[in-house]
Amino acid sequence: MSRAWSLAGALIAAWGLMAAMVVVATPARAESWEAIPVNPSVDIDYARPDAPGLLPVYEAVQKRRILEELQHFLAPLHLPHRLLLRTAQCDQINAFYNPGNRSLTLCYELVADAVKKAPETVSSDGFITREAAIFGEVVGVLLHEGGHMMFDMLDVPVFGREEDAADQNASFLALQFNKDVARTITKGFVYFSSQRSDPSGSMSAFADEHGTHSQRMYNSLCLGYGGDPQTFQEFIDRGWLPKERAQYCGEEFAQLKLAFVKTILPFIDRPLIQRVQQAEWLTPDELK
Amino acid sequence: VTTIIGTAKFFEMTNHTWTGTDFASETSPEAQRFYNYLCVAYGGDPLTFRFLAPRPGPSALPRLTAHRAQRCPREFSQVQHAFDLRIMPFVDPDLVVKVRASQWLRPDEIGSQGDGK
Repeated sequence: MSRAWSLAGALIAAWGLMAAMVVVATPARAESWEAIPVNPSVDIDYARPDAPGLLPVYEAVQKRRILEELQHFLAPLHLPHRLLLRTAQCDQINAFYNPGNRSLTLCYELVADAVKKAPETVSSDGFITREAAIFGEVVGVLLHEGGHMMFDMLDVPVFGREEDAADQNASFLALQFNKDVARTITKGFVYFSSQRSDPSGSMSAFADEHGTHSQRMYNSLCLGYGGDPQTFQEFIDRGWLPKERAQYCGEEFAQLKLAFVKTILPFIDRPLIQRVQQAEWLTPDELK
Repeated sequence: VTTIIGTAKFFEMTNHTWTGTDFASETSPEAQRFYNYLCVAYGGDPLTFRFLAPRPGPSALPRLTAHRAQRCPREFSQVQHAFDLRIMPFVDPDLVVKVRASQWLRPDEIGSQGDGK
């Protein structure tokens, strides 16, 4: 599997996951994504980057028709407004949803950065592969931004910081697919979070609207464990999530699930989401 | 103002230095909670809480950063919207008017308003 194809798979899976819902589908034969109808409210745009170094990423995502596929993956979501999905040069490592024009942008720089900073083959503890790191980082970011999009589009009431809510949304959606996908996304997110420094020192170091990297990592692991203790037990066994936090994770997940069911599930076409859930978005390489 | 500032001061006075697995706690660092409280207050009533606005100079209470302050009006609107959607349906509007008009604190319980600058 080439790097470009691997990235494409990650991006595709992100949207498949974002459209995933609470109820695990009944077993059925997987179908091609082309058989799933397009979401008629979603437009796409591949913006050509000015920086020559980003052209390979631009060409890879375009050749793979990622955004076209995403239109299919979003099919189950009833959007009250049009949504523009775009890939673009942003001159920063980022992805963002803009409620002003209802566009969600994945920056080429973010994809390139994930590729650059992922472990060469596997993390030092042998737990997280290169593929999982890249996959988890890109998908985690897309699920997070997809949360912002749904909060805006679906008028979801949010108490507390929206950035925390978007993280929780991402963790919850990641758990709706099979165990391997959920574990892979989490591994990647955990890897990059653990590589980044937390703030320290002055009060103002904690003034940001986001949680610290470690907080976001522990929150993600807690929801994973709370939603699927068996699959995520290994994260506790390996010391990634302290047992003191783990004992409350079931309640945290139940609370999140209730919020999701009340606010987002009414906008989901359930027969369509079951088809999306059954499609094979990832290759075995990407699930390592 | 007394409630907001009192709560924020409580967070400010803690001397817990967060490191490592401290961040695994289900509660946020006191410094984060400090800014969350103040941001919602400033976003909801920038005139009353103008002493929190970012600007140089000494202050009795740490001010909001410029980065955070510009986001506070939206943070307040979002919480207000959520409250209106999910909680206000269970609230008696007539009684709310009475509650808001009541004097809940004694004069000696009402503290100074920030640095007053």
